[in-house]
Amino acid sequence: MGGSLFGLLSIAQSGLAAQTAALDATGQNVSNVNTPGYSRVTANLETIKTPNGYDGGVDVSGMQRAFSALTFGSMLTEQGLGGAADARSTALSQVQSVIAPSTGSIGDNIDSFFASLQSLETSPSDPSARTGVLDAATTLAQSIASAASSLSSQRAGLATQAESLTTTLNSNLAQIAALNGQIAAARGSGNEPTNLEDQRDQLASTVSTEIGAQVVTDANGDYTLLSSGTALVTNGTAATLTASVGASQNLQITSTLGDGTPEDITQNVTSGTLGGLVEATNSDIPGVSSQLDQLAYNLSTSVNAVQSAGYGLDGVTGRNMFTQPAVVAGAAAAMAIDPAVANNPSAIAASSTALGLPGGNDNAVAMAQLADQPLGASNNPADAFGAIASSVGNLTATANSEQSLRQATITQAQTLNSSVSGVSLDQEMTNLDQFQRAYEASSQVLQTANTLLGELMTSMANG
Amino acid sequence: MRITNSMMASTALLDESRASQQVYQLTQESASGDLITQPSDDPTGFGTLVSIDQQLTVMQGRSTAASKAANDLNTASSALSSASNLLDQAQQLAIEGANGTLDAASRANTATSVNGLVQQMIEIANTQGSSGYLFGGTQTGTPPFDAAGNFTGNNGVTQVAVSDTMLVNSNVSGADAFTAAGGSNVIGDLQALATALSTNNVAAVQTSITQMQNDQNQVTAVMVQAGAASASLTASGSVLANAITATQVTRSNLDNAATPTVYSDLAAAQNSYQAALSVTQQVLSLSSFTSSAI
Repeated sequence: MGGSLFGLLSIAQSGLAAQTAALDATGQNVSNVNTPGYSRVTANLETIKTPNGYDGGVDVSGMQRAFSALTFGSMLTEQGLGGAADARSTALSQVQSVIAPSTGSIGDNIDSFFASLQSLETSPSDPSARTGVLDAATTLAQSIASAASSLSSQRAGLATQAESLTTTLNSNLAQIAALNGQIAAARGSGNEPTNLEDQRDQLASTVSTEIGAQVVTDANGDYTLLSSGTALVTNGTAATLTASVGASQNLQITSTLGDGTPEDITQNVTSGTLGGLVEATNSDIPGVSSQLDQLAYNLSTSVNAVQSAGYGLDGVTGRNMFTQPAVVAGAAAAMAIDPAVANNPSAIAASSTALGLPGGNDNAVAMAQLADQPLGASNNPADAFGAIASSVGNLTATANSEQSLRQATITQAQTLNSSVSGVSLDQEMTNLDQFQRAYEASSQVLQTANTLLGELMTSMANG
Repeated sequence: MRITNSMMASTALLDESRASQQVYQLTQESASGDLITQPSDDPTGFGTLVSIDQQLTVMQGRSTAASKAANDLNTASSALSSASNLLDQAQQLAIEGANGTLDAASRANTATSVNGLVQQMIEIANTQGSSGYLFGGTQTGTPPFDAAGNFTGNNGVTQVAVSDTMLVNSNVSGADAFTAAGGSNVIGDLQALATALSTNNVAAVQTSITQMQNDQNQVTAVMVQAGAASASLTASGSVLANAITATQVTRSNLDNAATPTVYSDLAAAQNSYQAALSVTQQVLSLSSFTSSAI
């Protein structure tokens, strides 16, 4: 039992090495304070066990990464929901600007059309009043057709965005799978690849914003990234996602893991940017489009019924104002002035009888009164438009609230995760002081051992 | 909880973002004066605004149509009043012509005057309003009476809507006022008087005196109809004007940003934003590195 001066030298040397490693970890932490996805590291120090119970010094058993699967998983969930809310809110804001621009909305054009018919009431044979009706009808038809076309383009644009996003996603998934291999290899050779794990977590976080993700790592270190009810990464194997436009112009998402069979996961993609794009493309926009089709169909049918029953200034009857749609679907995009009345103001049927020409206005009155009458089984034309705008407003407001809520919950989840994994400069400053003092002390021990050995050598030489 | 630098930064950023969004929203409201600029601001309110705007447009259209029709009816009424005066003059000339002391030459001279009245009557019966001839029924494009005084119009009625369900006549019948459809052929009677005078037929001239009175009554009856329709349209116009004003007030209450409230809210939001910025600045400058190490 008992120590030796040479043992003391060894202890002091291990102290210097350990404090250097701890200072190295602190330096890493400080320099990465603003690095996205960085998890702080600490040097694991432990006493070197020797058979005699002491004089072993200190050993650095490894660098440990501060990580909580719970807070990280919660952050991924919120990022997925936030990604969906962002994408849907953006898409619906565009829908809203199509349906209700600040000026010249379909509602404004409906009002102008019926106002022009009211002018025709008192001037049924006046060419300018007739031209006014024709112009207003043309503008109305064009505004509805143009809104329908904008919605279709927007839908196609979102599908393109989804296609491009799957390319990015596939690249990220492949990188995660590659990192899994590198991490496993590093661990196999006894290293703790904290930087690789940080990179993988950062990629998982990006993937979660893109499609929503959950990560499961089991006791053996096997890594699985799950999303939309399927595994997108299993250890070194990544899935390939594809986005395509399928039946009814709906967006279809498929996933193929490794050499497996492609799986249609569209219904399950509800999270992340892709989830928002799927909902906007497959549900929100078609809903608005079908409401617009119903409005166009009902409006065309009602106006045509009255217009075709009356007589134009030329004594001809049976002409529609708008091209009569055969079915509701597609009525908005196809809405146009009927060729029989286009560029022919005389064809506007202001009189209900040929004998009533040219001053008879009863048919013009009947058409103008449609402004206050139910369209089909629903509201009057302007209110029918108001209902569409309100419904778009509700969808947009809900999406905006969701987006705002998710901003807050993401920040909260990030805060919680950062509380575990983030760098606190105050803490690092304290650590820096602590390890610096310990290093100085070890250095002093080394110096003392060296002095004592020197004295011993001198006395031995003199003795 | 362990507090890290990124937590402080992200929390400060979120607070700043919220404060700046509020400033943006209130700036929009104070600049536009509108609380609802897009459907998502207030979906139900936006739908109500669309409905109100439609009501306003329809009411304004009805008001304009009623006013225009009332003007035309006033023109018709005034023309019929002139016609009545003409018939009064014709009756006086008939009374003069029936005087037994008058010789044939004098009656021939009076006949010339009556022929002048016939032409004036045809002109009156062909009076035009804002959209064509007033007394041709729906035959508004061509003069309803030709140079010989024959009626070429019809008895068609035109109406304008003053509410969802109420229509008011916007013309009066020229046939009823001037032709046998109303009982007497006014122009024909004047022509008959001229013929009786020029042919020195005293008995026929005497018959015309009564006829002129009947004609005058016929024209006056239609004039009363024109006045009544015009009054009805004017009254409807007043009702519409009141309804428009009330609806505009409703719209304004729903959509107009209350200026003092918005301005004070904006000032409060700006202060809050400024405070958030200052807090962020201070929080981010706090570090033991800056206070001791450097």
